[in-house]
Amino acid sequence: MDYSHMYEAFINGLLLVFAWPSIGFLFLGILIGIVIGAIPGLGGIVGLFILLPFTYGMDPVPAFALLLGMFAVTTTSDTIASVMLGIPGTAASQATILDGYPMAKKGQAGRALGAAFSVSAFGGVFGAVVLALSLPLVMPIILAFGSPEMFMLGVLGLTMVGTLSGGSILKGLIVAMLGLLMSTIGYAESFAIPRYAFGSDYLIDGLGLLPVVLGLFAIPELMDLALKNTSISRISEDEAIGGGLLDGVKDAWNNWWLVIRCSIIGTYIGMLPGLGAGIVDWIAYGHAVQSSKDNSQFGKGDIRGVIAPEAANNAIKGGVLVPTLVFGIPGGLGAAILLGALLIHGIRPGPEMLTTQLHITFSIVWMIVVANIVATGLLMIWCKQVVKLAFIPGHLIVPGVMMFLFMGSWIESASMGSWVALLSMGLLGFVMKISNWPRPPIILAIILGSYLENSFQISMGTHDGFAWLSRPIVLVITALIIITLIFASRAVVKKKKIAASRKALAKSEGEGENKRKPKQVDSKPLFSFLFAIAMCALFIWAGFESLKWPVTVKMFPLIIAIPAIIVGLLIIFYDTRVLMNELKIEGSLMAIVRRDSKKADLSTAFQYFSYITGVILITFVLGQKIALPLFVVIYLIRWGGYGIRVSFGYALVVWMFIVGFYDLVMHLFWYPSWLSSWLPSMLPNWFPVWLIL
Amino acid sequence: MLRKKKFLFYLMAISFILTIWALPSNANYYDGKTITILMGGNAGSGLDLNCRFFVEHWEKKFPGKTKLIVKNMPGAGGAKALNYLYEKGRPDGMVIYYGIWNPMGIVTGQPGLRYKIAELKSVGAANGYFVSLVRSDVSATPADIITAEGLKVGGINPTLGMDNVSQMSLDMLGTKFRYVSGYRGMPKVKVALLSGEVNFATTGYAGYRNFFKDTSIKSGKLIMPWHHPSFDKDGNPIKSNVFPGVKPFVEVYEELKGEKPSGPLFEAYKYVTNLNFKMINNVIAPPKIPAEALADLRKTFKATYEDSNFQEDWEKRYGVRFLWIDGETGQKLFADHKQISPEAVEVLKKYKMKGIR
Repeated sequence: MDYSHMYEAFINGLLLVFAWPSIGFLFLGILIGIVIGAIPGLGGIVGLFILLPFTYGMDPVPAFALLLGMFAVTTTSDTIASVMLGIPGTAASQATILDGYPMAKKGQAGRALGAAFSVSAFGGVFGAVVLALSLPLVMPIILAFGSPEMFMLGVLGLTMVGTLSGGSILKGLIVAMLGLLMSTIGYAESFAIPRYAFGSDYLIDGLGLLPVVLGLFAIPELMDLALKNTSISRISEDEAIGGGLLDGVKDAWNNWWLVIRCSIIGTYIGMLPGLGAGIVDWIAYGHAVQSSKDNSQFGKGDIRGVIAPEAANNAIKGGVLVPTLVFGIPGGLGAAILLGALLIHGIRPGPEMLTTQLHITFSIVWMIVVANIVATGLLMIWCKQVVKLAFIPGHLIVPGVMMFLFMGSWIESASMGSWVALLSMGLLGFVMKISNWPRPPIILAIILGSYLENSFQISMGTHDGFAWLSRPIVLVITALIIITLIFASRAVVKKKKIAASRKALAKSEGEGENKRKPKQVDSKPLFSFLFAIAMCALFIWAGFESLKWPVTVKMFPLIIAIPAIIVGLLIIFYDTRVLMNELKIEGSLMAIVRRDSKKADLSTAFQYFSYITGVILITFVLGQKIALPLFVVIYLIRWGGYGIRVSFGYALVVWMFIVGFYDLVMHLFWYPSWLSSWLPSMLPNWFPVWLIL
Repeated sequence: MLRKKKFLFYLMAISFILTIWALPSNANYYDGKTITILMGGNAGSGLDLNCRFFVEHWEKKFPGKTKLIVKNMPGAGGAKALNYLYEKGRPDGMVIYYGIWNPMGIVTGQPGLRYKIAELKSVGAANGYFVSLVRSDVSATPADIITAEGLKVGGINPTLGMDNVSQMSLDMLGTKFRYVSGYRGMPKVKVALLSGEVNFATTGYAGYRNFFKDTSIKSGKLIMPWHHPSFDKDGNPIKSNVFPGVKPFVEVYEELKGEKPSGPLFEAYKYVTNLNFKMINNVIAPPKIPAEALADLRKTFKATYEDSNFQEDWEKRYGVRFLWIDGETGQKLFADHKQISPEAVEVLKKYKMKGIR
C-alpha cells in the first residue's frame, strides 16, 4: 500500500469537506438531521428521501455533505424520543428506551441524554475510522456471513431481547414468537399466497413496522400521561438531583471500556447487509447486561443500558458506508439510497474508491466524523431546553406527540390500515403493559421475522437440508445463544432466591402485623393469565390456519406456532399458580377482577382509546387536515381543561405543521375523505383546497 | 332608442359571454391545475427516482401552468395504487399512476389484483433491460451452463418477471438447477453470488449498473451469458447495446440448440418480456378520464421522451436510453394482455408457485 498516496488522500478528503460550500451544506444537513431524528416516525431514510431531489443540480461533494450530514446524526437525536417519551425514535434505538425512559421518569433525562450524545459521537467517529482502517477485512467478513450465519445471528438477537427485556424468560420468548408470527402477515416470500391477511389490502403487504412500534410503545405511555396528567418526570424539576448533562458525560467517560466494546459490536455487526441496524443495539445491550457484575438495575434506569446501545447504533453509520462505496454492497436501505445518489453524481462504487477516488472515500469518512462531533456539540447546548420537556404537564405533550404518531404511521403506506394497525397495536401494548408482559421482543421479531424466514429457507435450499448447522460460524453463534440462555436462567434463579429471602425476612419481621400485603403485588395476575390464554388460542388458530398452505409457506408459521403453544401452556400453568395464591389472599375471583380493573384504570383507558378511534372515524368524513387539529382542540378543552385560546392556538400550530411539513415538503398522499369527494367542486377555483383536504 | 341601445348592449354582452363559454378551448386541460402522481413504489427506490426525474422534465412540457406532485403509495408491487386508481381514483384525471403492472399476476389469478388493466388508460411507458449473471468458475461460456453441476439460481421473489425468465431460460436449455428465492434485493443476491451460496441470477439494468458492472463483472468474477430483450412485431429480439457484447437469450439458444425456441414455455417467456419488461415505467390514468385530459397527458408524455435534452439527461444519469412507447401503443398492449394460450398460462402458474425447489 502506498502510504504517501493514502496520506495525501486523507488530507485532500478533509480539505474537500471544509471547502465552501461543502461545509455549509454539511452544517445544514446536520441541523435537518437533528430535527428529523428527534421526531418520532421520521428518521434517516425519510430525510434522504426529502433531501435527495435538492441535490440533483449540486456538485458531488456538497451534495454528499448535505445527505451525509443529515443521515449520520439521526441516530444521535433519535435518543430524545427514546429517553423523553419512551418511543423508539428509529429501529436502532429500541434498546435505549429500556433504561433511558425510566431515567427520565426519575428526573434524570439530562444525564441519560448527556451520556447518550457523548457515546453516540464516539461511536460514530469510531465506526467511520475503524472501518476505513480495516477495509481488507470487510469483504471476507461479509462473504463469511451467508444465509445460515445471518439466520443464527437473528436468532441470537431474538434470544437476547427475549431474555433480557423482562422478568420472565418464557414471556419474553413467547412475545418474540408473537412478533415473528406478526411478521408472516401478508404475501409469503416464496409464493404469491397471502397469509393472515383477511382480504385486507393493507395486510396483504405485511404489517408496517412504524404503526407497530409507535402503537406498542407510544400509545400506552401517552395514555399514562393523559390519565395522570403528570409530567414525564415523576418528580419536579427542583427535586431532580444528579440528573444533569455533565453527569451523563462523566458516566460515559467512566464506562469507556464498555463504550469501546459496544462501538466495535456496532461497527462490525452493523456492516452485515440487511441485518445490522435492527439487531445491533440489542446485542450491545445484552453484552452490557451479561458483562456487568451488578446487573440488578438494568431495565430500571441503569446508565449503562443507555450507553451500550447508543455507542453501537451510531457506529453502524460508518460501518454500512464503506462496503457500500468499495464493494457496491449497501448495508441497509439508507446506504442503498446513498449508493443511488452516488451514481447520480457520477461516483461509481468499486476498487477505484480505494485508489484513484480514495480522497472521495476519505471525504465521506470525514463527513461522518465531523457530523457526529458537531451534532453532539449542538445537542449538548440545546439539551437543557430539551430536558425541560420532561417537566411539562402531560396534557400539553399528548396532542402534539399523538399527531406525530398518526402521521408517522401514515408515512409508511398512506393507508387507513396503518391507523387501524396503530390503534390495534396501542390496545395490545396497553394490555401487555397492564399484564406486565415485555413489549420490546415483538419489535425486533417483526424486523427480523421475514429475514429469518428467508435466510432459513435459503439455507435449507442451498445446503440440502440442515447441513448448514455444522458451519463453523453457525456453531459459534449457537454457543453464544446457549450462553445467553444460561446467563438469563441464572439471573432468574438468582432473582427468585433474593425475592424468597426478602419475603422470609419480611415475614419474620412483620409476623402478625401485616399478613395481607396486596400492595406488594405490582402485577395484575388475572390480566396476565387471560393474556396467556389469548396468546395460546392465537397460536393454535395460526397453526391450524397455516395447514392449508404449501409446505414452504406454512413451514415458518408452524415452526413458530408449535413451540409457542407449549411455552404458552407453561405460562398458563405458572400464572394459574399465581392466581390461586391471589385467590387465597383476596378471597374471590370477583375481588381480584375488581382490584385489577381498578389498578388498570380500564374506564379511563376506554375513553382514551375512544379519542383515538374518533380521530380515525372523523378522518373518514373530514380528512386528516381537519381531524387531527380537531382532536387537539377537543382533547385540550374536554380532557385537559384548557381554555379556548390555548387549545385553538395549539391546534393551529399542529395544522401548520401538517400542511407545511407533511404536505408541502413531504407531499404525502392524504386520505380521500367523504368531504373531499364533493367539496372541491363547490369551491371557487382560486380557493386553496389543499389547506383543508 | 335608448331601449334599443340597451337591448343591443345586453345582446352583445350575452353573446360575448356565450362565445367565450362555447369556444373550443385551445388551452391545455391541465392549465393552472395540479396533477397528483401516485408512485407505486417506495420513496427512494429505483422506480421512484425514475419517476421523479421524468416528472421534473414532463412538467415543463405542459403549456401554461401545470404542477405535478409525486406521492408514494407503495404496496403489493404497485397493485395497491392501481387498485386505488381503478376503484376510487378521481375520474377528472387529476390523479394518475406511475409504476409497474403485473400482467403475469393477472392471467394467473394472483390474489389482490382487482384492477382491470384494459379499462385503465395508458399514457405511455418505458421498457426495462434484464441480464443474467453466472459465476465465471461455474461457467466460462454460455454453453457450459447446460452441463453445469449444482447450478443454484438466486432470486428475489417468484412473482417477479426477472425471476421467471431466469428459470425459463435455463429450463428451455434443459439445464438442471435449483431455484432459491427470498433474497431481499440485488445487494443480497450479489453477496450470495460472490460467496457461492448461489451461482446464477438475473438482474435489471439498475441492479447491473449499481451493483455489478464496475465490481464483480469488471473483475471477471461474474459473466453475463445472455440478456432478455423484448420482441418486435415479427418476433425478433429488439436490438440494443445496453450490455455490450452480450447476446439475447434466443440467439444463444439458437446457437446452442440449432433451432429457434418454441412451445408454451417460450410463449410464456415472450409474454413476460413483451408485456412486463416492455412496460416497467408506466404512466396510467383512471378509466373514466375525460378524452381531452388523456390526450393532453399522452401528448406531453410523448413530447418529453422525444426531447433530445431529456434523452441526454436521462442517459447521463442512468447510463442508458430507455425505449419509450406512447399511450396508444401502451393501450394496445393492455388490451392484448389476455392474448396467451392456456398452456402458457399453466407454465406461468408453475413458475409463480415455485418458491424454492
